[in-house]
Amino acid sequence: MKPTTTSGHTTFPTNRKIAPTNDQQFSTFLKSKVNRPKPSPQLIEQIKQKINPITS
Amino acid sequence: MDHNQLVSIFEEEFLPQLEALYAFAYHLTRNQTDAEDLVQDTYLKAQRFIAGYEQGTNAKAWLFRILKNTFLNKYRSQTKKGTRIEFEEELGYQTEELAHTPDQYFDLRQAIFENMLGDEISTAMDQLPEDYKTIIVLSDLEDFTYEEMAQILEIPLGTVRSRLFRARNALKRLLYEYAKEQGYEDHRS
Repeated sequence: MKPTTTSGHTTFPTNRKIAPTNDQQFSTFLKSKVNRPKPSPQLIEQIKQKINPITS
Repeated sequence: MDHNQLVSIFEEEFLPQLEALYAFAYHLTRNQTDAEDLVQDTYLKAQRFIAGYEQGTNAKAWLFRILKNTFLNKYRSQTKKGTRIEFEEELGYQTEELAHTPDQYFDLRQAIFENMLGDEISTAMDQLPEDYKTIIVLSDLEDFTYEEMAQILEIPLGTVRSRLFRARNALKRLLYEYAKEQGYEDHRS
């Protein structure tokens, strides 16, 4: 359970060591938070049909 | 380049990059229709200039470079205001940023960041200058190396390193400020 104040805000333990944020940690954090938007099936089909050298 | 070779490049090297290209396009345009148009334009240009691609090399970086240039030429003026980082601006931005940045690094494992939602992170990323957002997407979401980013962005390796450093710091600061606005308290001494 996270420590909270009487106002309900999450707080930091004051004795917790703050480690430097390294590059890998930052990348992992972003990947875990930011969803990768997916192309629609229509776009995939359009690319295949209109641009593929087999059919063009 | 014969027909079989073209088919091979397209199917085995270019098509597998579609998802990554779309994600990059969406991060740049923040709009599904524009992102789809940008990806289609990228593949059309790749087909047109395929003679400049050497089979079996880095298709992803080659296509990302085309997409980035297409965006700069066609889409950027239609979307957000120009936010490219020029050298002098970059120095100024960094100076201002450092003046307001706490002495300690922000530790993203702390609770202040753990509860953030993806949309909140994306919103913070959208507030960054375009060049900062771009380099963070390339590095931290798409895992390009410094050398690949230098090729894609057509900038020196040293600029990649410095820009990425500044971009990450700028984003961390935005996230930190947002978290504080949401009522999280930082008890670091």
